[in-house]
Amino acid sequence: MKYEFSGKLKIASIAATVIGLVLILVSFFIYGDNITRVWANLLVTSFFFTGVAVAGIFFVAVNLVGEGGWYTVFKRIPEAMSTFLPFGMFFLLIVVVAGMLGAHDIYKWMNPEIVAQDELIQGKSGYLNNTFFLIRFAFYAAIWIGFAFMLRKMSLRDDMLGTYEHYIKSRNRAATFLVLFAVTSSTSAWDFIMSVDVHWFSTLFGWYTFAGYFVSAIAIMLVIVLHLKRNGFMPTVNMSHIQDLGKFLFAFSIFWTYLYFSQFLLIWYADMPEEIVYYIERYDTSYRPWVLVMVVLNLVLPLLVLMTRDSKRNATTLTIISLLVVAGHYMDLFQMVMPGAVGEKWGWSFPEIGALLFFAGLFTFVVLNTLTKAAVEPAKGTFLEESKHHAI
Amino acid sequence: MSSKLIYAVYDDPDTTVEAGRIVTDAGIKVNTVYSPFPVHGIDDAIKLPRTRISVAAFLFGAMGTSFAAWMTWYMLIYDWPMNVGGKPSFSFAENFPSFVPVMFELTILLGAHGMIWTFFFISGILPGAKNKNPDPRTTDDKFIIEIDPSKQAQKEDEIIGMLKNAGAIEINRGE
Repeated sequence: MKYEFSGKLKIASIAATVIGLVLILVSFFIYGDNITRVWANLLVTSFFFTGVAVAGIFFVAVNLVGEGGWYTVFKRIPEAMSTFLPFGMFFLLIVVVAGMLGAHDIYKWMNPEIVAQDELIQGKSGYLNNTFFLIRFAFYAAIWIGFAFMLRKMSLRDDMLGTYEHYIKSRNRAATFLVLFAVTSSTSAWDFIMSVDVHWFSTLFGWYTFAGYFVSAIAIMLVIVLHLKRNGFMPTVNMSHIQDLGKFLFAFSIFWTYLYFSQFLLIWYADMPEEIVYYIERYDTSYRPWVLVMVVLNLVLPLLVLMTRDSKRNATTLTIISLLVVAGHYMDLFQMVMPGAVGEKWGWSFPEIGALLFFAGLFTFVVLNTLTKAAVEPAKGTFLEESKHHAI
Repeated sequence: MSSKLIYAVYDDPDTTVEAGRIVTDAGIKVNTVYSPFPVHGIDDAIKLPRTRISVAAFLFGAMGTSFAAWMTWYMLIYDWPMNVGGKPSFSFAENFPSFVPVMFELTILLGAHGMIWTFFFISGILPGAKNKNPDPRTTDDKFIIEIDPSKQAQKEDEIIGMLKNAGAIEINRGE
């Protein structure tokens, strides 16, 4: 059965995209004196949804390599999420190129005048320079988008073939992707996010960023699965699949906290000026309530609510928690970028709402539109029977 | 004879689950099932009540967290104030991050030990406990459904007939 993108949702997602775009354009005029704030919001949201999209392929690839069968009945959803990658990376590219042309100063190292006076940035310029940055960007785009479309294509072919040989072939491709993603997930987090605070560095930053968008991807996947199941497009998805996705959400929320706290604890304990400045900018400024709410949404809420079996089997609870977790991880990315990009000159109005509406609307539209193009439930597949009888 | 337990022996896990489902659906209460390995779906088939070990796990975990919070406060703030990480604040709230690993570990430790000891205690598995297995073959390749006929509404022969129809390879009787 193919998914039908219903009128109401379609109109809502298009309306969100258009309103978002208008708000972004308006804020370019309103915030002419603080144009970096508008661009920084575009960076936050485009990176967030690009991360969610790439986490979609990551989820598929991990299950292929681990020969996991349980996810087969809803594999079209992470696959559809990964088709947002070209869009997300396009807007990311615009932000990066605008920075190189001097339209904003999110990335201080792109400004030759600042670099000329800053010995610390000069020391990093072998890695952080415009040419190498664009080469890396092309490399990420080629790998991520290439594998996203390759794995989706192979998975769709599986609907006709359903042979074990074909499965093994896609498993090997997935393994290649995972090796490449192990490197690119870290370096992309340094490039796009960590280099905003160009003097500062943290070795587990890549994992921390990855954990954030992976949890968001699980949460978004869960929301889409529940939406499709409620509307009768996924009759073979049972409560066990949903409970297992809930477990993923629970476990990776704790994983995210583990990384966030590991980074914080070592820096807080050592208290070295060049490192602790990162947290001073976040805890001893107007960002403090924002950060505290973020931690509550990303740790306390999923930990306490998703602990019981009953809540992981309740569609309403899961939808609400998933959306709150997505909001929490958007807030996390926001507080990773904003203090370094605009300092205290942040706020919550047109640019923030516009960027969020624009990308959320576009993401919803692209993903749900992709879902209409192929049958939601696979017709054949090595692990399809196993997945249909998934019981825990 | 009538007070003796019925032991229906099966040689296949799927048949056992099916037999368990058939007799349970007929309103017969299955005492327990003996099996060499965990059989998937058997607890549903014989309508076992859901385990409450998760409640125990939560309580033991919470005990671990609070014990660790008290312990770090007593040792490093109250009894022998420590200068944590070059920050001599001597306040629990301000030194909280460095106590988190201790609280995390003790939560795991007490949660895991509490769960396993609760399980042993409830199952009666203690040092010197007597073997309750009616037939040593259930540790190898046989499965046994145990039913107490004196507690059922159905007649004994009827129960035995149902078990046999469901694929029992032999019916034994025991205390």
